This record gives sequence, C-alpha cells and structure tokens, in this order.
Amino acid sequence: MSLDAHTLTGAYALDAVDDVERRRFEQHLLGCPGCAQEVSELRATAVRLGLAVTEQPPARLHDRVLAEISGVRQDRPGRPVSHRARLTARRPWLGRVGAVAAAIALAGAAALGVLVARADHQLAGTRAQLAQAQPLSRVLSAPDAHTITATANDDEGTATLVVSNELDAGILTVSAMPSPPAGHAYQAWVIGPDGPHSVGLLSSTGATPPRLVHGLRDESSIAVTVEPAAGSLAPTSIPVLQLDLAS
Amino acid sequence: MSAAVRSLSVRRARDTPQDQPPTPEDLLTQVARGSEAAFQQLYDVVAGPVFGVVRKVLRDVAQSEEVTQEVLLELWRTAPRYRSEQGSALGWTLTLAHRRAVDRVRSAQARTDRERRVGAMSAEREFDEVSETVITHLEHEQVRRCLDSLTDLQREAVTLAYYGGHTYPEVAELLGAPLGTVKTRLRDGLIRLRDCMGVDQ
Repeated sequence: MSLDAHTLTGAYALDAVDDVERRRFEQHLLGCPGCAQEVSELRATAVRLGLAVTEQPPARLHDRVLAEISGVRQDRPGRPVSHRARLTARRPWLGRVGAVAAAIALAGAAALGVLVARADHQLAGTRAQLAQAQPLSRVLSAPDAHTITATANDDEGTATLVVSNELDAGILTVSAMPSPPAGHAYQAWVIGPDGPHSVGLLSSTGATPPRLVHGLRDESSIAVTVEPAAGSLAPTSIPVLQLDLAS
Repeated sequence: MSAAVRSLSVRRARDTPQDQPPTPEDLLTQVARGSEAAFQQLYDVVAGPVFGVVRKVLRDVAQSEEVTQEVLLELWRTAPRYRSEQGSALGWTLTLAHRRAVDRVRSAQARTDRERRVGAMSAEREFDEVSETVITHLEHEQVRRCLDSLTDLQREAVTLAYYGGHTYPEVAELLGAPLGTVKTRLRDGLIRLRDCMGVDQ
C-alpha cells in the first residue's frame, strides 16, 4: 500500500473527499485489505460522532415517510442485474428453475467441451478436469443451487455462477469476453471482508472452463480484472465485470 | 399500515425467548422482506440519529427534513442489500445519512459557487460556529471526553470535516494548514477517537 493512499482513510471515512478521489480510493481499497479494515473502524468511529448529536425530527416526518414507503419498490438483494431482470420480466414462468437449468446445461456443456478438446494434447490437464468433474456435478445437482449472472461493464462478456450455499461452493463460468490487450490476461478474484483472493487466470481466448470456487459464504463479490499475462497478487485495475454474491 | 399488522408484529417481538425487543439488525432484516411494521419500529430507532447528523451538516431545518426523508426512503428501498459485514444497522444508516447530507451541501455549493465565499470567510468564525454548537450539544459524554483528548488541530479538522461537511482541502483552507497535514490529522485524530471510544468494529 502506498503511504499516500493510506493516509486518506481518515478523510474517506469522514466523507471529506470529492467524488473523483472517492472512486480512486475505493479502487485502491479493493487491493488493500489493511486499508479496508482501517476504513471500517474509522467509519464506525465517525458513526459515534453522529450518534452524539441525535435530535428528534418533527413528528410530521413520521407520517410522511410511512405514507411514502408503501409506494416505493424495494431493491433486489445484491446488485441489480439488468440481463436477469429483463429475462425474468419477459418470461416469468421461466423463473429461477429455468435459469438454473439453463446454467447447468451451459456449465455442463462447457465442461464436456473442455474435456473433449483437451483430451488429445493435455492428458494431465484432462485428469485434473475429471477429478474436478465430481465436485462440479455435486454443486450443479445441489438442491439449493441457484444462478447469479452479471454482464461486463461494457456489455461484452458474461459471468455465471451456479452456487450452493449448503456446499459453500460455486461454479464460475465466464464467456464471450473480448480478447484482453496484448501481454495481458483476465484474472478472477473473490472479494470479501479480507480483501480480494485470486481465483486464477482465465483463458485468453474467451472460452474459459468452468471453475470451482470454494468458501464463498462470507464473500461479497467476484470480480474480473485485466492483469499482466503472468497474473497479479492483487487486482491492479478496475474490474471489467463484477458479480454480486448478496443475491 | 393497519393496526392489526402492527400489533401482530409487536406481539411477535414480545414472544421472543428472552423477552428482548428486536435489535435494529433484526428489524432491518424484516424490512428487507418488505415488512412495513418492522420499518415503523426501525424508524423510531434511526430517525433521531439520522435527523441529528443531517441537521448538523445542513443546519437548515427544512432542508434537513427533506434529506432525512430521502435517507429513510433509501433505507427502505435498499434494505435488501444490507449485509451484517457492513457494520451495525444503525451505523450503516448513519453512514448513508452523512453521505447524503454532504452530497446536498456540495451540490448546493456547486450551484452557488460557495467555495469562493468559504475562502473569503474568516476561518475563525466558521470553525467557532461549527465546533461550539457541536461540543455543547454532544449527548454522549464519552464522545465529548474523547474529542477533548485530541490535539486542537485534530479536533478542529475532524469536526469541520464530519459536522461541517467540508472536504479536506476546504478544511485545510479554513484552518490555514497544509493539505498533507490535514489529511494526516484527520486520520490520526480518528484513530485516537477510535481507541478512546473503544470502537472495535
């Protein structure tokens, strides 16, 4: 962490930064678990300053607010995903079951495709894939398996996660991404209270084998960033795609 | 909201094993599932703190009411996104409230080009106005004591930023201190407050 960025934790926790600096610092926080921890402590401290100046609002506000909420639709849990929202709205009967089935088919087909394509020249890799196939199918067939989808910020590329909370595991499929810049690769991260953990590099060709990800229970999102071809220890760029696990 | 629904939720709350009232986190979880009865109870918990923070930053009562209303509606709307890792329900709400108050102050500032006037204004007066009212009205004895334990520059910087809603470059200008110094004082001041108040979250 750079010293300069780190000293901004106080100003940031007090909302004493402008929008540009705030965004830049939030980017920095993704790769700096120490800063994120400090920010959450300092924010909690600022909250105490707020509690100390408690003042009851005029009684009329109570009725106004309560009258108004009945007309306000609540957000979906996690980040709203436009693609999923459109799909469900158009074909309500498809609903969740349909989406899970589609994702299972997709992930299954991709897994098979990868197995076949690699069988010729990557025997070792194939063995590894086969060893992985068992947990993959366990997740896919878990009774609580459900699908979370996110579209890349520029609409090029999609990530699908079939996740089972019971098994505390998920299968990540990333598809239709444009080729990364020369000398770079996509890297996936699981981001949670302890900061980002690498899930590994994604294939540069756009078709990535489904990847089993463990231990998602306390994590908040999965992000994909562009990194140097050899990969990075922590994200060094703004995610091109982010999948919210709160759904 | 019907009286029946409301009394049902009150009764359910009393039926909990320890006969404890529901925590703000419990209430927020119920609000996330669309319970207007839970929202009504949550309102009683958070409305005072929210209004207090907003009013401290904006000062104008009418505007503060307006922003408080926006914050409470946003709380209702975004409740499904709350996760306990983000801190306590009250802390989450107050963070949102402060942010919205500051947004309002800064958009009003942009409209009237208030930065210029801030620059021309006596830093002395601006500071006195903010920190005086704050210190004398502090309800938490502990917060007052902890603020007192800071150096003058730390305390002035923290109160101007949080209660005054100023950015740290504005704080630097108001206090006539270098930018880097103010940034550092905000951080070490808050760290000292954190340790003094025993905030461990």
